[in-house]
Amino acid sequence: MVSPADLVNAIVSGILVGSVYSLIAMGLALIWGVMNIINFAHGDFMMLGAFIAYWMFRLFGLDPLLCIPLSFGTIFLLGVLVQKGIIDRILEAPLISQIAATFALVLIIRYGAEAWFGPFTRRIVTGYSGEVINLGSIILPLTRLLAFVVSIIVALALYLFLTRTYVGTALRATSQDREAAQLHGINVSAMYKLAFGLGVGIAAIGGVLLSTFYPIYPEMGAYFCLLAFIIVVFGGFGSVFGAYVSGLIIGVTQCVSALFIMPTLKDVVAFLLFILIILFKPTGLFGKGG
Amino acid sequence: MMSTLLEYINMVRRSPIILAISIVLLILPIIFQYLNLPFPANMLFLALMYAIAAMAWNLLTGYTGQLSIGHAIFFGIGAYTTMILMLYYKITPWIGIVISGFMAMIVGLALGVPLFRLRSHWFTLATIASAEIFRLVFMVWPYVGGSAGLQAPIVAPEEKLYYIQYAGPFIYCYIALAILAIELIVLHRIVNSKIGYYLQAIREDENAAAVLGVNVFKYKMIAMAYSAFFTGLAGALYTIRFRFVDPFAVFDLITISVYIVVAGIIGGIYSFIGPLIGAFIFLPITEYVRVEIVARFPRYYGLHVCVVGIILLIISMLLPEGIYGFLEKKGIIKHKFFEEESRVVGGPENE
Amino acid sequence: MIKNKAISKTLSIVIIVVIIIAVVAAVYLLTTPPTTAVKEVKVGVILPLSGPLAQTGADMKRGIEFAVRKINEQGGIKSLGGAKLVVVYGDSAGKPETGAAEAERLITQENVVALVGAYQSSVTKTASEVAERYEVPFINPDSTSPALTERGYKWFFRVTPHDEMFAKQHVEFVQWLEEKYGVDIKRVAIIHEDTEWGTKSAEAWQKYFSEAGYEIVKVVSYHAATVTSLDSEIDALKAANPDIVLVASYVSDAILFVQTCKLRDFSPLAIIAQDAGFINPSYVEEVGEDGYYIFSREVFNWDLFEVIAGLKEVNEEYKSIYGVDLNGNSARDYTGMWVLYYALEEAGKKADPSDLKAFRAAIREALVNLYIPKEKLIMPWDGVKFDEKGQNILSKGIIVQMMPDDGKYHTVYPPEIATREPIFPMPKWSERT
Repeated sequence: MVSPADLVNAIVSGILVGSVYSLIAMGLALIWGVMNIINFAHGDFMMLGAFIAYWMFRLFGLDPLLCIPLSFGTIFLLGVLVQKGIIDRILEAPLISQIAATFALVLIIRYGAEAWFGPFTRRIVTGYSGEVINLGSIILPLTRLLAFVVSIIVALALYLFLTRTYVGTALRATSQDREAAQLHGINVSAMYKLAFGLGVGIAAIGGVLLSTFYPIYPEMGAYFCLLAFIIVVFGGFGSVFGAYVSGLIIGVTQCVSALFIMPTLKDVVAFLLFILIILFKPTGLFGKGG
Repeated sequence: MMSTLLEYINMVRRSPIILAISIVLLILPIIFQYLNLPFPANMLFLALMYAIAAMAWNLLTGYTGQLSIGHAIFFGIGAYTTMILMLYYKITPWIGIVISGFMAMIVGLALGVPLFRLRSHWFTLATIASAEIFRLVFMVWPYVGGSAGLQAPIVAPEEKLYYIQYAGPFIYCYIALAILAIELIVLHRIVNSKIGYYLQAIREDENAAAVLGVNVFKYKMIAMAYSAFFTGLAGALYTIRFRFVDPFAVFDLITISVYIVVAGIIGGIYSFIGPLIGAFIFLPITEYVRVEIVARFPRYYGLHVCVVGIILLIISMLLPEGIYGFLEKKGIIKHKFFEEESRVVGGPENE
Repeated sequence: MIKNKAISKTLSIVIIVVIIIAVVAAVYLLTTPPTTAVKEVKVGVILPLSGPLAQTGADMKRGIEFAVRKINEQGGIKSLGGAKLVVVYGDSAGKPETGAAEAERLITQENVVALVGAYQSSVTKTASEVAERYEVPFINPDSTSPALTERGYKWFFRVTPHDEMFAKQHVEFVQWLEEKYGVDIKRVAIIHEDTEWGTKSAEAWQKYFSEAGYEIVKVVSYHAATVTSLDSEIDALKAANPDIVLVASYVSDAILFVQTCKLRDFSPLAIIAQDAGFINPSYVEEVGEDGYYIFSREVFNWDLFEVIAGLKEVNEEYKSIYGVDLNGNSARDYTGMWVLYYALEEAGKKADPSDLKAFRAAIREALVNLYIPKEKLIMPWDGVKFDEKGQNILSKGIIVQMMPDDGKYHTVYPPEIATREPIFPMPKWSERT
């Protein structure tokens, strides 16, 4: 049967890997909160971030953790471009056009990457990839531990940015009430670009972290995007930090339930949970309204 | 029935193009068969199959405003039902197809109960999640063959008609045409009736409609019923043509649900016949890119889907009313396909 | 007024119909192959040339092209006066319905005398159904689902061993290890991905290992497409304390599996894999030293060049053209083509391709009676002979192990063609450098 040690390990595993989910979800929540748009292609920006880390590692031997600023910066810029060129144009369009456009982005990014990089699975193996820290019976893989630490740092940085800086506060204001923000002289258009760039940039960081302990392939965005959605819904839209906490919770739920349930059913449960949440508590745990 | 037939004849008399296209569609399979061109014949079949699904889908999306990216559910249920009836209960698909439609409809209604409480993107997300649930469940459910799927055995020649097992796409094109014709007639009646009016009212402003006394839930369910039914028929078509189903083929998010959405949007969700036109444009393009480019250079796998994405992006940004809608707007297509153009009481230019 | 309307109506109909017919005629003229004066025998090959397995498809295509080249070089089909073998390809895109449509096209439009294909079992299922319907021989060199030969088809011939045969061989291998090393192996655990392939592999393993007296202590499955970690799965395996672990995985999950075993410090006496992910070049490249000592069932291996007569030369030639060594996929399809060739030689004695129906029937008869001795093959088999279900019963797999000195797979079983001694048991993770 399941021993307490297994359970503890599952919970720890869940927190570690959940912290990466949280990053991805935070980015999604930010975009959703500020612009009220669903970025279906979120997972694919994450994938691009992971691939940048891979190529930097493969071509220049650059450690993925050191690649974070590059990944973030590149995807941030890409996000701003996409926002300016595409998202901006459809903000006022009917819902169907919005959804169609972001879905189109999924197809373009995901399968464009596949056509360009090839459908192969890749992996980053650094000198410390196999290192494990043992605390009693708790197993802490070094890569995941580092990912967790970075994730916390990024979350903190975002928190400080959103609450302590002028720009960050302006961003929050825009998410709460666009017209009022505009009346206060906030350049809403710039805010949108910032939000989108930041959102996908953070997801890209998540991608880099994932790449240190998870295989990298063009279609990886699909699953993580779905998880991100579930997390954001769970945590409540507009609540960026609700998303972070939810990410950890979902990570733990995933790992713990794997001890008891058949794997495919695990996914079914996740989807069902998702539907149930949006049916009964669309504001999520921390949200301010759907 | 008679009145709808008369209506159809009226439409045809008014618009020679309809007659021309009808004739073309009727003789194309014969031409392909005679000239030995199974590839274009298969493309015709696929275009018809997706057209049936996209037209049905549009009742829920274009008319009622509930965007579904999970229509693979009904397609898959339709496909599996026909297969199971045929394989386990030896029921002829001639009847099986109809039962499949009803099965899909039942599933649709059951789903509608919880899902119609949701609005806009919540509903869409829920349809995607639901479709994935179906796919996963069918992957592990032994009764439906699990991930191996089900294949129908080849039957003796005297049973060919009973089981509709024929080589080549020929017969199936006609069955598809028949289903399409029936669907067009039925859908046209609906959208031009009181029901259609209410559906569009719901799309425009659900709350206002409710305030004005429209039973929003009831009409959404009606739309769902027809939408699911005909999409189920499209799935049944798949089964009788290929005689093999598995969860990856019929419950697929991209190749079924998304393709249906793409066909609808490219053609135009705000016109009655838009999705059909969309299917006929979109399928050949994708197949062409796949066969000519991707199959020649397998290194570039994914390119044809990427191209689909680009087309979808351009259309959704620049031509939200779809290609057909655009042509209509510009007056290039002057013929109103159907007298009271089930032209929506809305659409992007009215927003 | 009415007259005008009537004219314009008729006119538009006529114009449209004429345009359509013109388009169709153009399509026909452009796509129908010209009849050639030179004697040719056309064969259809269905492969996943696009889609997620496109790279594998390209691999198999090379094997086929190479075989055709060599067949034609040695004089073509001599019983038909030296007729050249010509291949027409169909892309299945990895989807059963596309494979079926391509089969229809190749049979009715290209008039091929036989079909070869199609790798993925689901595609082979539908494509061979079409072939059965049209009474066209279908040669399957590379699909391993046992169900394919259980359908009672008369025109389907599978050259490769199938997953049940492989499972039986795994049992034999383990028994051989026990004897050779004097180790008692009792407890067997299985981990598999949960689509048809993995599930059926696991079932076959359970069946044959139980029959042979082993105890199946744990069976774990996971969903390859959405697995983010195999921690709990490995922990579950570890808790069951098996002597050996059998694995059926694809590439990404194979990498994850190995990584996690290392992380969780799980090393049973042996890990035996079922091909697929574990022998994929991407895996071999990416897994590095973590993959050492793992066994896998394979169908072919590069080091067989040392033990199979003639294989070295064939591989050298192949390599000089394509730049890579033969592997399990290209080798099997190469072999499948040769099997067809031998059948064509026999058929050519009795019928002529100009009478398509009779010729296809003659090919079928030739395949039913065909026997190819092992000396004529580059595969590590006892030969080619089809049973009444269409299965080549003289085929079998091999077991390879990734060796620590060069990180490559070396053949360790069956002993007659092994190039190395297996390293057993697997050293603990802490014992490795």
